Amino acid sequence: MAKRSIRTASREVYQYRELLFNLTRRELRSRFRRSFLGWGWSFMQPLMMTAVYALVLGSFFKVLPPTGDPSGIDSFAFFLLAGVIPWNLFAGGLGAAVGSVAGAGGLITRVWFPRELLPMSSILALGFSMLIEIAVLALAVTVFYQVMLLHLLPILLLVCLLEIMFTAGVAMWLAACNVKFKDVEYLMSVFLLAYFYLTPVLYAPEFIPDTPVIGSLTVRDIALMNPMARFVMAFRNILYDVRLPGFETMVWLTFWSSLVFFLGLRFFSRRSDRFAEAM
Amino acid sequence: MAFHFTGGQQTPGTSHRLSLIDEAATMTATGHIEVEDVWKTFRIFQNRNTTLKQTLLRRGRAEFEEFWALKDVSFSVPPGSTFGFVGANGAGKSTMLKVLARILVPDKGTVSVHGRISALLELGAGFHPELTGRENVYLNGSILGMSQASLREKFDGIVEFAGLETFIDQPVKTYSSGMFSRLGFSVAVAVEPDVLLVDEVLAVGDEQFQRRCAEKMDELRSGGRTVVLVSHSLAQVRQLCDHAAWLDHGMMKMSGSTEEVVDAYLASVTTAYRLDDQGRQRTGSGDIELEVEVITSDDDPLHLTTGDPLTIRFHWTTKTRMEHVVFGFVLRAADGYAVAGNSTIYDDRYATVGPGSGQIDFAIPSFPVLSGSYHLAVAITDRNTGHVYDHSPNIAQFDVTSGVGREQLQGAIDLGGAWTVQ
Repeated sequence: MAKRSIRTASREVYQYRELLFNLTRRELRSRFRRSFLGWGWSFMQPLMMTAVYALVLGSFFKVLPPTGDPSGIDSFAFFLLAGVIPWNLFAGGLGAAVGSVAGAGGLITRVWFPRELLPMSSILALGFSMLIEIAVLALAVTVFYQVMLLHLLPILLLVCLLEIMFTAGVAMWLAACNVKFKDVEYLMSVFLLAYFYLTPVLYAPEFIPDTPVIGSLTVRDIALMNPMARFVMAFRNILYDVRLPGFETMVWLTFWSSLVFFLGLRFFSRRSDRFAEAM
Repeated sequence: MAFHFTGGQQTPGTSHRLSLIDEAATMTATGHIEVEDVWKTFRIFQNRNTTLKQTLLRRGRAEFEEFWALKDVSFSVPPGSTFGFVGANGAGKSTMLKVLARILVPDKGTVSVHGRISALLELGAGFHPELTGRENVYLNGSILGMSQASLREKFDGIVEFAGLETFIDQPVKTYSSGMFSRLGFSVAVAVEPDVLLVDEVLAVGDEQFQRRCAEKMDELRSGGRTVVLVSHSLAQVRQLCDHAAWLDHGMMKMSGSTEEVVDAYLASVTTAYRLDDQGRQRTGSGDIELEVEVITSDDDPLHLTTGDPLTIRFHWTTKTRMEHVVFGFVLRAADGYAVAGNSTIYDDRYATVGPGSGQIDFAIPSFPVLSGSYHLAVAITDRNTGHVYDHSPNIAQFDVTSGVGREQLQGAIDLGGAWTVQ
């Protein structure tokens, strides 16, 4: 029989959209159930990460944060948080989604539903946590620096959506591979570590050397082709500088997110018919 | 060996269901199932490439054998009828159900199922242990394709049918396996499917719940739903199904009216036993092997007296870890009458065995059976599927004498009562 096409997959995901929300809710509810801090835990991780980096880089290495333009914010902690939050969606989303199919063997071998919902719901659950984290950060920026960023809400939501699409695309690809090869999970964590330092989360893009390598193409130009670098920059523009991200960045992000989502969904849906057998 | 029963080929007993529908309408009507020339292969890997290292070392070539689970299977099920599959373990019955449920995709051939499908392959699949019964009803319902609106509407009915009103806001990990299955069944039938696929699940829960399941099945059948059933209980197939098919090693050996198919299948399996090294009749897959020891207070295990203590000791041996295992025995008199029996079916403590060997005892403090010759039938089976690992209709015999003071007793059992004057 013919392989499941991306059109069939999209239609079925749409038909099962209520299940997508239910699975997302299941992720969210079960994650913090019966833990003392409950939802508070979802803030602890980025806060802790930021506190440690701010201590090491800001106090030990004496790195000065770039001043937000035009917001005038010059806090290293805020600078880091604006990058850590989008990075956590990507890294945490992949971590949760990569095993989502292989870990749902009991479900997959017993009932049919669009398998895409498994990685998608993992990402959506993290996307939801990210929105709360962003809201808290935005509130803190407003309170501490008296800058309103409510007018940037539509573009902020758009960037969030694009990052969710981008992460979901990568996640579907990894989750499908992970059904057959269990070491995808381990490989991924190694690559994520390297990717983290290559992405300007801990530093501003201006720190990347501006020396030409190929023709007039500089190291920085190449580093900024990285879609995650662009996501971090876009979030920093909105949440730290408090201005619209550059047009070029938005085009770049839309292009990458659509392409990666499309390819990931295609890869996943063409293989999803065989998942039950591999379990 | 393709077959179709539409229009003229109906058996007399069921023709009323279709007499008003012409053949063309039947082909596309809701609840209609059409399976044509379906082939399904599984790869049995000797060395499966589950890591990238292995794949690279073998240059992507894993060693495997192809195993055809279904070979050129064709059939159609008219809307509103009940269809049963019979056949030995590994004949492809469950694979066929999974193909109908879209969990497996055939390599060749076409499957068309018109209408909404609900598969009872395992009850409560997809329940999340940390979530409450209520949350799981909504989640499981939507996995089965129900909308939130219809779930809200049916919620009370689902909970009531499962009999879980007081526990519905507890996490399901606190449920007993019976409660778990009851809730799973309630949700699955609340889907109001056009096509219901059932694999052995009616063998769960207590007797009362089984009866309610059977009633619910009847209700669905009489409500015009199509049901496809896989069961080891031939009595159940006979009772429920309008048509049946016999699968043998992935091939359709026979199909047609339930009576014919079940009779033919039964005739073939009743001869399919083997004799063990002591000449005792054995059936079953042999994945777990049983030996039984009858321990009495006398040293002679072949002879005992009513009122003596008696222990039936099951020795099991298996190469792998087995779950959902049920040990059972029936004590029969010489004429075959079943005097007593017991099993571990509702007791999870003994459900997991192996790998290796071990023993479990059934201890009777005072054996109440009166004089006669008796023999023990024993079996070790899978609780969910009814799959028989080992079964012997006569693994041990012994004689019982009633003993002094019981000469006047009638029947087979000493009730142990006493006469008093009031």
